[in-house]
Amino acid sequence: MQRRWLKIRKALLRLILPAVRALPPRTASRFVAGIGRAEYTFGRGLRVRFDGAVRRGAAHFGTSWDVAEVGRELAGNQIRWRTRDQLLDGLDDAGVAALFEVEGLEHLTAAQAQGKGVILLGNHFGAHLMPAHWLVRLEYPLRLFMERPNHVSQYLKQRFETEGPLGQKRLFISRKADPNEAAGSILRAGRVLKAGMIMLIAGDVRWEGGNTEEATFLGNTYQFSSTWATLAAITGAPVVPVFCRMLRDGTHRLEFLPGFNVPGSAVRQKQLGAYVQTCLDQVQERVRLSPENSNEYFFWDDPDDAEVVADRFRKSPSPQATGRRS
Amino acid sequence: MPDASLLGEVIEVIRDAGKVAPGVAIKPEQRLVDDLGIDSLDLVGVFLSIQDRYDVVIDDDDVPDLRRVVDLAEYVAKNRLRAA
Repeated sequence: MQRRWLKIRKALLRLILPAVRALPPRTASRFVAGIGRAEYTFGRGLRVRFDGAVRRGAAHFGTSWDVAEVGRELAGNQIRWRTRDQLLDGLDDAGVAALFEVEGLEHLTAAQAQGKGVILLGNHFGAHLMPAHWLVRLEYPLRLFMERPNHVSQYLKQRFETEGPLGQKRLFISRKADPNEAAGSILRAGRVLKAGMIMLIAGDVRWEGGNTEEATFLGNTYQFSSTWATLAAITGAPVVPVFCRMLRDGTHRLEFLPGFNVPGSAVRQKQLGAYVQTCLDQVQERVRLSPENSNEYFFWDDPDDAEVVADRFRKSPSPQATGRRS
Repeated sequence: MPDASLLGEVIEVIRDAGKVAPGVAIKPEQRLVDDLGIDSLDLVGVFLSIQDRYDVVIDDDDVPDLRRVVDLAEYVAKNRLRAA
């Protein structure tokens, strides 16, 4: 039932998005969030589920959030999050820029100056694809190292078609890749970094199999992909974490954190787990400060999602660390 | 089949970079992943070591075809000659 409703809602959202885009951009974002908030208010089942998830989060952090308020805002933001960057289609560059407050860009600039490319360490907090859209609009040499995301803006879709050895098209990876194909992907990614480009990789991807590290997140232990740390160690490229928070007024706060390097010895000395955990700790801290931007994190162990999770694993009989799961 | 000397060298690179235990015999027909248990990360290490040692560039499009020890040795032989 849960899955069926999610599918219907996704389809409805796709149908109405072109009309929503006709609204002023901030109003459009608020309108989309309003759908989620209305679902929370009028849908008892959904409200119970969100409140339960928020309570679990509050218990983990030992905080006393207003469960109803956080739950309502989270429901709204989850829908905004699901629209990815599609509300930005049709806006000119200045229109997009007006929707972002940016902090810490100097960290990205400093990392680029090292001349080894940059691993932009993303996550699924807040508006997780917005950093990519913002950077591409400003003509930063950005590539994504992940499965090809669905339902993104036409603007990004066009950029995804870039060909050639450093093109985006060949950088998308598949969770069905075998180790040889995965190794080829890592080599390709290494070449992109060597060319001085910025590569966005998510650091909070739960996965099974090789190239993973055990780490804790919101009080539970999972295996996470460590591909980003491996690439950083192999290539010497600095890592710059990035977060993008959805603000209530329909804008976004983009935050680049200070960069760091992963020494080559970290692979040999099996220290990648510490880097993976540090990345997750940074995500957890953002969740603590802005639980309404936590998207699906509080639902990771929600039994209602168990079927979805199991389905994802069924589709991935031989998972590789370079693939995405969450 | 590449010459025995090159094959022996490639096997040693595979053993070192692929972290194959010293007691395990590595044979030309063995598959790097399925038979020797090398994971994708260590496979990258193998390819990078091969590139450094023999001054060849392994095209990432060719990687899916480099499944056996002998495939890798033949690739080195072919591309080292081409480079020369």
